[in-house]
Amino acid sequence: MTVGVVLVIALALAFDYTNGFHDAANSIATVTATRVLTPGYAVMWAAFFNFIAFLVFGTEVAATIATDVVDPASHVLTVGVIFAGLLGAIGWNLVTFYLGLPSSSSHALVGGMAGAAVARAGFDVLVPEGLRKIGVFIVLSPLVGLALALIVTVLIMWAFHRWRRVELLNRGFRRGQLLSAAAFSLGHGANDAQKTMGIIFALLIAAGRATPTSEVPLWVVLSAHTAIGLGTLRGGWRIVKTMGSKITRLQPVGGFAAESAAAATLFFTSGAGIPVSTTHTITGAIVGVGATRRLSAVRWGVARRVVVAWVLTIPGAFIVAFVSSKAVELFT
Amino acid sequence: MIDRRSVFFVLSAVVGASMIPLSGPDLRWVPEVVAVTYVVLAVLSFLDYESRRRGSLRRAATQWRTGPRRALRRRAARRAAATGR
Repeated sequence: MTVGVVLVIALALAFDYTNGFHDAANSIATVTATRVLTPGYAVMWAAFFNFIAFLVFGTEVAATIATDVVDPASHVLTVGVIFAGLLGAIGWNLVTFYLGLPSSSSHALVGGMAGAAVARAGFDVLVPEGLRKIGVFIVLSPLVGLALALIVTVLIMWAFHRWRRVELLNRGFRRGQLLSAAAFSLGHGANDAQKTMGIIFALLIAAGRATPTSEVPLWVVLSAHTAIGLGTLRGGWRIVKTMGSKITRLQPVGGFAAESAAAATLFFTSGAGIPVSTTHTITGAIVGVGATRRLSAVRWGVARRVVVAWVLTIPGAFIVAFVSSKAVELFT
Repeated sequence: MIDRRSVFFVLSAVVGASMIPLSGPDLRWVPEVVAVTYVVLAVLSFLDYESRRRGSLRRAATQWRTGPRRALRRRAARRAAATGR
């Protein structure tokens, strides 16, 4: 392996680390907002389940990222292009992190890869079917999370509305939240770590170390999960605050419902090989819990800011990666 | 007055339905289920809103019927207190 390939793999793992750092908020926001776990324990809990996700899920999302965004047959995905794509995604992540916006690292990655490839060889190298599948689930994942969270909350209310011992019920759901947070972290690890695996896999294909039909090597799987787990351990508190309390006020039952719904959505999409945003999914689920009371329980101003960040993410990362790719081209 | 939650669900159903032609045949069922679910949620939310509205209308009607009588009783009590009887 050349020094360039090793450096870009290191950068991809750094991106995975920032992804864990950025998205730790999603895994632990509700569990800390309802004071089930202290922030320190919450990040450890989430990081552990992020790491062990590779034991549960396959590598379908990695294959989608490696082969369904930019056509591998076009041979445009060189080390330099992947490097520029990662620069675009990391640059955009840092901007949104600084602004405290819960944007999607996943879509930054897709936008970055697309932007870097288009800068080199035009729009023809993109895979329309793959991008359409990703685009459709950009829209659907928060809607699925919202509907599932709403339905779970209503079912719980129906099941327990005659229950008089509210404190006991809250205690039960606090414990349940440990499970739901673990499930969500598992889904987060599965979907997001696989995106980095996909980048490294694309790099290995570009370097002639793998073919589009071969399996993702185990060292790639383990290193991606380790990087995201370590990133989650560091946590991103600015976004925890936005997700945990600014969208809607959550009780343990609401946190449980939101995380369970988001986890179910992530399990499905990871199984189907669809890279979705964990941020989109959990935000939709939190809004769903708020909507069981009334729509005014949701702070729409914050939700709107989140949506603006989502809309800007792919074009933003695309532009940063496009410019980076042109700059890399000048120097190589 | 309209139920804003129902409107939100109807809009979500429209967004879900608009994703159906864009989806591949293997995953087309997902936006279909999403659209149908939101239609059902919109209907249920509207029924919930209507039942609450009618409940509050009934309460208002009861208050309207009993309100003047209560006001007369209160006025009589005040007069009685003022004249010392």
